[in-house]
Amino acid sequence: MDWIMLLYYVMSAIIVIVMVWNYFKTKDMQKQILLAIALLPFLLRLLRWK
Amino acid sequence: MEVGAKMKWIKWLILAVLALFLLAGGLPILMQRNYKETLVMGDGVTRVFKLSDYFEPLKGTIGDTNIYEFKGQAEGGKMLIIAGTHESEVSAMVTAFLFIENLKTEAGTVYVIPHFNYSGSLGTQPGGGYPLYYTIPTPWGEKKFRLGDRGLQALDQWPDPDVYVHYPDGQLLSYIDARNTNRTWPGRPNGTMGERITYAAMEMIRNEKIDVVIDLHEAETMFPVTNCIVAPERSKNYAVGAALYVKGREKFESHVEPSPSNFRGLSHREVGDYSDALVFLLEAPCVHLDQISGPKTNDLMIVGKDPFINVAAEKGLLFVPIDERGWTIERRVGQQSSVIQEIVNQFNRKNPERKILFTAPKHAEVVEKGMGTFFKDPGKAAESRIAYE
Repeated sequence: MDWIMLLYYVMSAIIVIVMVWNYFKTKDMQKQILLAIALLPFLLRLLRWK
Repeated sequence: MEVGAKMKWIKWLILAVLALFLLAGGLPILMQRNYKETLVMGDGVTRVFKLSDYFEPLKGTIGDTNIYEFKGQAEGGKMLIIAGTHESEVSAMVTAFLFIENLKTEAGTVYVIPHFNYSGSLGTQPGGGYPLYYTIPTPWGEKKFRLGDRGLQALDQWPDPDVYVHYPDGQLLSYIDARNTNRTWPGRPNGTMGERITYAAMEMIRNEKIDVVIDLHEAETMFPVTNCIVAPERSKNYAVGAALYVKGREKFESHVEPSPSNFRGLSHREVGDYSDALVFLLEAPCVHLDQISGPKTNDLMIVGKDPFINVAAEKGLLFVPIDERGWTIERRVGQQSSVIQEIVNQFNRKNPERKILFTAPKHAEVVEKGMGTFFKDPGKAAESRIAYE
């Protein structure tokens, strides 16, 4: 794996952590749903499914 | 239930829905990426080896791929057939599978690569609405293949550049073509995965002293470069001869298109420029890649009929004729097979000391008998003849 691709996975992981943290912090349900939807592509990439 | 507890419950419910979406959407994609196509190698296959045999750093990577060798009893020339440069162009791979199961060589050596861009075969075009697999009916059941994408998967080569700079010419191309193995020829050993794949193929062509290289493709009926043989200057006479003979003998058209000298990275340009091989790129017409065709179903790919394409034909927007037969998989594969064989006939005529003699089903036979009749039942085949792609 190229270093730049590895960096991309690290960035994805950080974004996932931040989004999950925000997800549990926020009390706004609309934001929760938005964060859950936004998480999907990052999870798919981190899991190397797509 | 108090408000705090209710909020927590909703949060976990949303996460459960997310997990459901992830599994429902992601698992089929993951399963397709790991699905192995089963082939029954015909008696003609003498060896299976890897592209990385010509370029060690490719070994164990997603860029490595199988090469099937058909070595004749008599000495002769060598031909390399590449399929799966663009993994959404179905008839290319099916022609390779047809050859792997049915081709017999008398003189010279034929090499077949069914999934040149193996990574591309592991996922469909994002947002294209394509099924994950396509199937071909056979007398013993459905034969199932992965449907792929035009380029390498982003999982395997990322990120895309803003502008793709071709090596070694420096021509500026679309960013998406960085993952297109028909823009990365002749490749380089320390380049991207696409460039390393084409570099390995160039090493094979140069080391094996391949005489003829044929790159199989499909193109939209609304695209001008379709139903044709693309040939650079050195291959032109062979291509013209083949086009005339298939029209005369087999009654179908496949005209000749010149390979543009100022459009870099394509197999029909760079293989000829960077080796002694004669190179040809074959384009069979298909309707499933046309943007205007209807739902991208298995039938659309295999039967090749579409009402929207028919309307386009009535308006004179197509570059190939459309009739009630449709551009079936049989017509497309049969055409690829016959054109390959006619190119080789032309080569043999001009290079009798490097003859390549082989037999494989031709256009009329494939159309008459149906594609599925040429595929053997893996359930009844000897384990030693089964290959997985």
